Amino acid sequence: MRLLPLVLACAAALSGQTVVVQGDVYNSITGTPIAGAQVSVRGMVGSDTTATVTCATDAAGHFEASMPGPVAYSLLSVSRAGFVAWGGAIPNDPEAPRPPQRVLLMPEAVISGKVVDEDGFPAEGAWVEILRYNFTAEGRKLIKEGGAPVNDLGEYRIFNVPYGLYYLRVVPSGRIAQWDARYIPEYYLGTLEPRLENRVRVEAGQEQHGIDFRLTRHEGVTISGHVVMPAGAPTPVALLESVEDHMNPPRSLALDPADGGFVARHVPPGTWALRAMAGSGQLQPGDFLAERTYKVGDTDIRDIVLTPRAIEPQDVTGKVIFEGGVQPHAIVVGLRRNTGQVSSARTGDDGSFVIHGVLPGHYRIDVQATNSDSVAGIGPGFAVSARLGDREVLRQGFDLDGAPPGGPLQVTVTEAVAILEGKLVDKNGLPVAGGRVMLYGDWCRFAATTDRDGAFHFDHLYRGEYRVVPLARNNGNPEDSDVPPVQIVEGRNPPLVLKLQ
Amino acid sequence: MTRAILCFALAALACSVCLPTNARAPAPVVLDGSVINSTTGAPMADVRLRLSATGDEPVYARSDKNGQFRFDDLKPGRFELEADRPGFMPVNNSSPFPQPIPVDLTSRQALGSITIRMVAYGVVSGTVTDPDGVPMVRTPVEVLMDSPAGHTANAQQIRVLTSFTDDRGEFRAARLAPATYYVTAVKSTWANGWQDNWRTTWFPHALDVASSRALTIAAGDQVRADIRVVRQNGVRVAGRLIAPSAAESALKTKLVLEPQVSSSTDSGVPHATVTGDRFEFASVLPGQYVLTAITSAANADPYAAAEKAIYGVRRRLDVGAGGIAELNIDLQPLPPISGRVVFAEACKPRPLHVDIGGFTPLASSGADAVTASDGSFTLAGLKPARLSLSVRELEGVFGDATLISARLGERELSLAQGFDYPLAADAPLTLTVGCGASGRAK
Repeated sequence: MRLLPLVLACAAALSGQTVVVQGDVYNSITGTPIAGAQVSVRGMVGSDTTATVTCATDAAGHFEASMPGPVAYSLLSVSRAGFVAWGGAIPNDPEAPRPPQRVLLMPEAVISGKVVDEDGFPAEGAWVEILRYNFTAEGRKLIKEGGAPVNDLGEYRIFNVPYGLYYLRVVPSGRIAQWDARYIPEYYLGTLEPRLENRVRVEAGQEQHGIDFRLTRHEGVTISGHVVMPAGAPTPVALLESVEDHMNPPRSLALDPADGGFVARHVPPGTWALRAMAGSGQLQPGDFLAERTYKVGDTDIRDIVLTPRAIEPQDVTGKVIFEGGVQPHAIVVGLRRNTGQVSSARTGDDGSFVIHGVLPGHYRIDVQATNSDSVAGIGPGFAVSARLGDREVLRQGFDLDGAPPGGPLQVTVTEAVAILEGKLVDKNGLPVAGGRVMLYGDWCRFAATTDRDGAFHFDHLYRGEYRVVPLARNNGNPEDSDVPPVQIVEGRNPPLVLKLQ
Repeated sequence: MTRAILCFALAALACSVCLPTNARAPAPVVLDGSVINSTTGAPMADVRLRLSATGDEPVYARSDKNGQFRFDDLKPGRFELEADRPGFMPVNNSSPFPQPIPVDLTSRQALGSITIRMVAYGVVSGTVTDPDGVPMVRTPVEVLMDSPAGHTANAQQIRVLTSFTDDRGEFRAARLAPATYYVTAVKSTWANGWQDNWRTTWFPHALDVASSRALTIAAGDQVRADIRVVRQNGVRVAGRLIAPSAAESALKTKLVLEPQVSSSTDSGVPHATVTGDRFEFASVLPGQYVLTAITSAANADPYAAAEKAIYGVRRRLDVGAGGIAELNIDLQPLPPISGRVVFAEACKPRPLHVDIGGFTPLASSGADAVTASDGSFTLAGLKPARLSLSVRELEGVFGDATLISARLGERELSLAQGFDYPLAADAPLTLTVGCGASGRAK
């Protein structure tokens, strides 16, 4: 009887065939059912329509969501206050009944504290970030894993944090950044570089209070110079942007209308891109652009002269080949510029594509699902190779400098899925329940929570080189040093047994 | 001592040699002032002040125990002054948002003492829980106040700020000037975990602002506003989309229902599910709405930030207690709007920018054009929305051109309220522009 209103609440209103997604939600540490968790099921109905159904778990932690069918693909997301939100895919078979989903929610950790400036005033508007090392195509990188704003009292509270060890950093923004540009990003305990010994540990379900910051002013260096435009060119703008940290907005530099002079004060150490452009502001053909990168240390950089030139775009032609004689379907091939801008094209019936108007810059290849597929969460397959002329460019990317690229771009894609299962055990060989296992590929990252038998599994992987990182509670982060990669092959891989040290 | 005097004498000599008298640097100026608590009239100590001028480094000062502060040795010019002390903000009678105080130090006449009035700001905090009492995480909570007359086209309240709940469902909205406010937990379209029949809820448990409890906040007030989200079933609105002609390619249409009288710019409005040419809003509360539809080519590039709209519509819709079972929506083409600028008497005809823009929860719509020598212009690439018009000079943001009236064919358009696009009839737009002193014909 109890279930009836729940099922009604979860039912999609469109009439006709329905698909039921059901499951149970448990606390990953205690194994007890979680009531009142919000469960959203998003599915692809027909060719271009997504449907989302939301319901809550009952007292036994059970949910049933009835979707309009047939559903090509479903994504499940589960959240509840006090737990780390979870999301995952449901196997992609429109005909087969969905197996019951068993979702393990990990109790969240919370990190909170106060941030004040050198005057002891609240650093209102700053962001406190938590970071961890990840393995990426560009090597081991410190990546943001979460964050929270600092309020008018100087307080912050970062929640939805999985247990582990984190670097913490304050990034001045909002009011504090406007008040004094000498406040720059600082790591916990006042360093400008991340330090291993200053990481903060949190356990599942723990609230770590009192992680306080007192920001100090840093003079930094001055970068100055002139922007010299060709005669008749439109009025330029100048921007200074951190190369290492794309999340921070670029700094806009005032240009002296008389001579194009600019001054950027209090620039902290790091790698910075200085850009002057004129035209549409969106970097289009016919716009003017000059771009230079500077390593900033402790010395001023002066007398820079930037002379923007008209942008000469190039067309990049190529073809996508699906491995194993798979019939090609439309996907989108994107070229992602180092500034984050993307040029792209959709493949034709034979897999060929032409990406028009690609601007000078360094590019990496980014294969995407088409719009409708991506809404439904359907992967495009996975690029395993990209050749530009006779060069392999998938991992390193390639440069365009205004001249035609050195030949067509041939992208090879696989759709063969790999599955990896395993078990997490402690040093005595006993299973670790509620543990986390991270899987890092070049372009993606996955996390799994172990069940009561210590078992974990990753499906929907593609072959390639990965780093598998077990995370025990009360343990360090293996990502803080290098971890040898493992090769994942197509199909079911031999089970891994990960032993915690 | 002898050496110091010698150095000074040499420096003075060098200056007198290098600088002709008519190129001497302007004499430095001084700004002094005081800070008072606007409620008590008492002087305020430890207020920090920031004085900035474009292109120059800002300078800082702090008020003493008598509330006095002083900036010495300033280069004459125009400055902006800001004041800051925890728990306070400068009083600004013209806006609920603190603004820098302009300070003119360009001439001796402009010099003088300045008094800054600070007020202890108000705070609204509270907890948002779902209909079952579970805290709601990452829920936007908007604080609004009554809209000044004519401020916006269809909103009775304007949003002052937005805060978000944390993992305990708690929010804190600070820096509120003394005034009367409304608070609402918003069902935004991207918020996870809201069930179909959970509704945007006004403090404490109301479906609309009229039933909501207003909060009158005096200086320094800290007020709680706990919100329990309302569960209320809606009705079904469904029907068919009719394109102007047989579609040449697969189309994708998005539809949204906005309350005809909205209280904020929130995105917590019903979006339709579309399958083929059928659409359905599964759970709509009865009331008066504006339906907006935008049709674009299906399977567009996912990177395309702005999809090109092909058809669209905006129409009023009355949803009764029984819902609407079969509603035909005639999609319309989205043609450019052509028009002409005419100048008021004694104004010098000149090219101008004509800007048009508006928003719906589906998309922003906007275009600008420069008028030709005969004043004509064309605004293209528009999407369905309530659009507003403005004109500006070609150079500079601030100019003398002022839009006096807009006519569509014979129909006078309200400049404050704008008009719905696509237009019901294809009539030319005539904009009448007035001018300030420098825009007058000589």
